Amino acid sequence: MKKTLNIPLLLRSLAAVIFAAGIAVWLSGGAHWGWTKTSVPLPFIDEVTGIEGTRWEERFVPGVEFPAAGVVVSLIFFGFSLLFKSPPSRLK
Amino acid sequence: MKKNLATLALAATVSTSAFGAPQTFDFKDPKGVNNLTFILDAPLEAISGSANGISGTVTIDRDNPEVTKGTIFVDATSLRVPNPTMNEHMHSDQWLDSATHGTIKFELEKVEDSKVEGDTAEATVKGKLTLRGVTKDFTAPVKVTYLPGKLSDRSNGKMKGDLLVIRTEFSINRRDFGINPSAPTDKVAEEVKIRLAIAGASATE
Repeated sequence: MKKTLNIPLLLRSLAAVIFAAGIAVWLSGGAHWGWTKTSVPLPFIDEVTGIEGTRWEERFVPGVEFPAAGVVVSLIFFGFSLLFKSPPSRLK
Repeated sequence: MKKNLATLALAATVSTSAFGAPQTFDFKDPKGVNNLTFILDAPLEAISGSANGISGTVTIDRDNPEVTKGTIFVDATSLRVPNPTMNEHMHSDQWLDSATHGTIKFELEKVEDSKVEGDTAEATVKGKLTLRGVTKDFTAPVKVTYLPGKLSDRSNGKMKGDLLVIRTEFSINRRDFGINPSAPTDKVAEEVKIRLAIAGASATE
């Protein structure tokens, strides 16, 4: 029996995975409500002079672009899935 | 004879420091403590960052602070914000054009309304700020703290001398310096709040 590829199901599954991945990456970085950072400012106070300043630590912090891109790309995949007809069910 | 000359030189050194002769402080800072921070607070987005490529000298007479002179340089390429794309845009030719105008210069010309209390002084400084190749007058309130003998603490005992800490906060309009004048002000504020906190060293030996 020939197996038919269910393109709409494949596209919707991909959409779900991309959506979940976008959210997961964002949450794993601490759900930062700003743009993605590749360096993080760390405040310090110099003991001798009392000067307050910022030191930079090279660290990747995913920003809101990640869930946003996940939503947009998954919507595109979902939209494409509507263009294809599902193969007829074998139960019919 | 040699001993007499050495005694005379020592006496001269002691007497000039006792009478508060002008003292020059070098703001080159290998520890990276000196910093400039900037904030642009627009309705849709707040941008903040800092720079630590600071150098320059200030000559101050503690008995007569109004004759203070000096120049502070900030390496424009040391300015940074956390977002890499924004950082790239900030240094591009439309914004700071750091490749062409690599130095931000604060030239101290006049000190007014100075109030000295112990080793701390507050005053208003007037001078010229050069940014992106454009020079404009600026006025800023400053707080200066003199820390006698503290250079030793900063250099782990390797050098002896004094420190001078200068703190100031003032605002500029980025359009005055040709920093992307057409950028929408709801996303990138016109007003740039600048905070400078720097310490200079004057070694005595």
